[in-house]
Amino acid sequence: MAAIETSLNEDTSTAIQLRRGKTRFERKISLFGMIFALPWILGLILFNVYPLFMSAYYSFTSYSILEKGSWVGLQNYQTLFKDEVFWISIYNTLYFTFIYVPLSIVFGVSLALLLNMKIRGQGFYRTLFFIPSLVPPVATTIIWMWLLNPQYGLVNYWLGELGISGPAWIGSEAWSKPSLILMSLWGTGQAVVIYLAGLQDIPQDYYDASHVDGANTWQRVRHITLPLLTPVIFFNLIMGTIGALQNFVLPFTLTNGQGTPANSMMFYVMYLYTNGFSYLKMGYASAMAWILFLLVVVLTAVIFLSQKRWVHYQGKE
Amino acid sequence: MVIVHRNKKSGKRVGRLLPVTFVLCLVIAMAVTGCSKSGTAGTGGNAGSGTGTGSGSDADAKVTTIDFWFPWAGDYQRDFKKYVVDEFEKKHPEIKVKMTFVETSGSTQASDKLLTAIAGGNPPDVALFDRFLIGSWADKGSLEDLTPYIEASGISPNDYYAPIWKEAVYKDKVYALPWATDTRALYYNKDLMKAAGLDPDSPPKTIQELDQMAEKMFKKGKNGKYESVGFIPWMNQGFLYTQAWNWGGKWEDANGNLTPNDPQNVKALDWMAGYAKKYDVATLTSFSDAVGQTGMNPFWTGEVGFVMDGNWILNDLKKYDIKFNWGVTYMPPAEGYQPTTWAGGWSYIIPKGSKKVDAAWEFVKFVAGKEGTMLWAKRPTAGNDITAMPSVNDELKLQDIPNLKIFIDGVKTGHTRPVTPVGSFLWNETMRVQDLAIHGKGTGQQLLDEVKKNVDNELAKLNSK
Repeated sequence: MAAIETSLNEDTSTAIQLRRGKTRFERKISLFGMIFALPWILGLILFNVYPLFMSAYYSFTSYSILEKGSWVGLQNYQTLFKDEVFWISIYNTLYFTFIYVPLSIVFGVSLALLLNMKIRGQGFYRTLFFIPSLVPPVATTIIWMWLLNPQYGLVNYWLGELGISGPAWIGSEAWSKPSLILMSLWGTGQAVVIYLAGLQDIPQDYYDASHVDGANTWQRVRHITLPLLTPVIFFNLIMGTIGALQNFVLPFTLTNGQGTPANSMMFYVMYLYTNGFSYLKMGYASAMAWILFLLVVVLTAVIFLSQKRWVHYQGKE
Repeated sequence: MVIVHRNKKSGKRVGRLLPVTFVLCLVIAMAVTGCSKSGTAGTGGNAGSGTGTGSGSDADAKVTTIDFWFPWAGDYQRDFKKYVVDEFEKKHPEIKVKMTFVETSGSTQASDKLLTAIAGGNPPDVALFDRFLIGSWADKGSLEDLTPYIEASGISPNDYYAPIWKEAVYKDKVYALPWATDTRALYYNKDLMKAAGLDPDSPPKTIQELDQMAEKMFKKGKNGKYESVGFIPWMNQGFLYTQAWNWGGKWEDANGNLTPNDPQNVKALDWMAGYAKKYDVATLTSFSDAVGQTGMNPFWTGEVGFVMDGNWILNDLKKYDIKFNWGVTYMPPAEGYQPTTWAGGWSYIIPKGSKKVDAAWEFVKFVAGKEGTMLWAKRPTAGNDITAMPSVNDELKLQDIPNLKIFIDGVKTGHTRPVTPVGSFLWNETMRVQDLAIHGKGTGQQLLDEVKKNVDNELAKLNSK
């Protein structure tokens, strides 16, 4: 329709466009821009958009990677809802997300506040806390397996010095997820960097003014720093939630993909991976991927809707 | 749309840009693909069909390069090249072998990369492959049928151990040539036996005896953790598969139907769960995790009375400085049953989609045939490996190596996991319910009934397509 209209008014529209539109030179520039962006756009289409649509399609088939598979309608989804391990993996993933993400924010912000203090060796401390983010997750896992080793580990040794008999950590059903959260918190360095940037952004005037008003340190943190940091917290909350829902490397390495003990470490993406690559049920795995996608969309939407209540943007009221 | 629309209007100048765009794109595309090609060749990705049969620089000499993927870096890579591949290339100047390390993923020893390479139509020409997966992969049409080649070359199933050959065959077609193989037996710590007041020279003959002897070796330290344990049924090679066979159970019946909930399998699983209950699974896990994470085999720490493990463990002897006396014997069966074991191991396959099947077959025939197997078995670092060919094992008198005889005897009569399209699924299911059972999440009967149901569902789905 639009095309017909355009061709009808070709001359007039050209005239209008030429008059208030871009000059020839500008158009040439934008064309070059397109050319340079083309590889990226092609890549996006080829490696992101196309697979996305294919996975939606495959979720309705019995695709096995090695074979095309046939159309099975909603069967994959129906089977999923009856699949016990699927529900266990959802429970584990939500458990991890709802405990890890808030803790990582509290921990990250506190750390950022400490690292923002003007003391000697500030750079050194900042580096120190960022280093874990540079270590490959697999290496982190192995280090922690040593630290949390029930019999020879340093953690239980210290606990033993205090007269506490440490748990079996990763080996026990009750402690496996808390252990994982502990390990994950170790890698908050990346978020801390973003919090630090946010802290730098808060104008000094506010603090000076509060000083005049006689506010103490805690009051300053409570009424100036935290409110003005909320946009950054909001960002980290969303990224952290999305990341936590896709938790994979740590539990996979820890349990060799088995989710032991007793499925307590079977996380959603791990189960998705097992279905796709171990059982060759890629259709089923695709269905899982789409359910995860919806879950991420819903949780992100909830966080977005909540931002009116607690996120403060400067210059906006 | 927008671009075309504007071009039409803006006359020649911009119009001329289009071909330029085109050429630019082409150049970029060529640069990108060119880069990726040399890149993958460097890292050993999916070159292979990209270079084509005998095309390019190889054309003059009429040399075919075959791409060979294997899952072990280090010793295997170095030795296999030196003692086998180099010999092959000397004998076959027209074939070159490009060796690429591609690791396995997950507990079934399959490789995601191999899987996706086959699916993408760009697989290697030969791969070293976990034998028990042949059924699953052949069912999906991803392995080259080697039957005509085998018939033409006069290779006989009798060249290999019967149970092992069975694993290479799916629906009367042969998809692989078997190679290195392994079996399981019971290692026992004589010093711990003596300390427990047992005769160190008479290891348990039945599971019941094993239970009694083991019981005397469990010792807790002050912190409530075990200092030594008698036996943990799921330690090392003590899988549900292993124990089910020890209990006289079976995983398939005479008609090839899968029988995960065989009554003896159920007994085996309940027995495993019994250990977890009696000795407290958390404390046991603490112990095995603790030792496991040191990277050392728990048995060689001297803190474990009995353990079921494979022949490759004998090679560890060189690694560890062992301070106690030990022995190895057949795994004890349940009362009234004969001792048994099971064999796993490796094979060479040609993935579907290889464009150089003839050259690949030459290679497979060599490395998994008598000549190649012999070259590999004779290498100085061979240690306690068992080949899939009785004639090679006999000729090299491998059974005369101390302690290896038990394992070689095992291959002749041993079990292999059922050849079925749901082989890897069944394996994972047994691992899953084993973990659930020892953590008290259901009885053996419930859990294995569930496995039976799941496996049947999977098979029904595969058959309905």
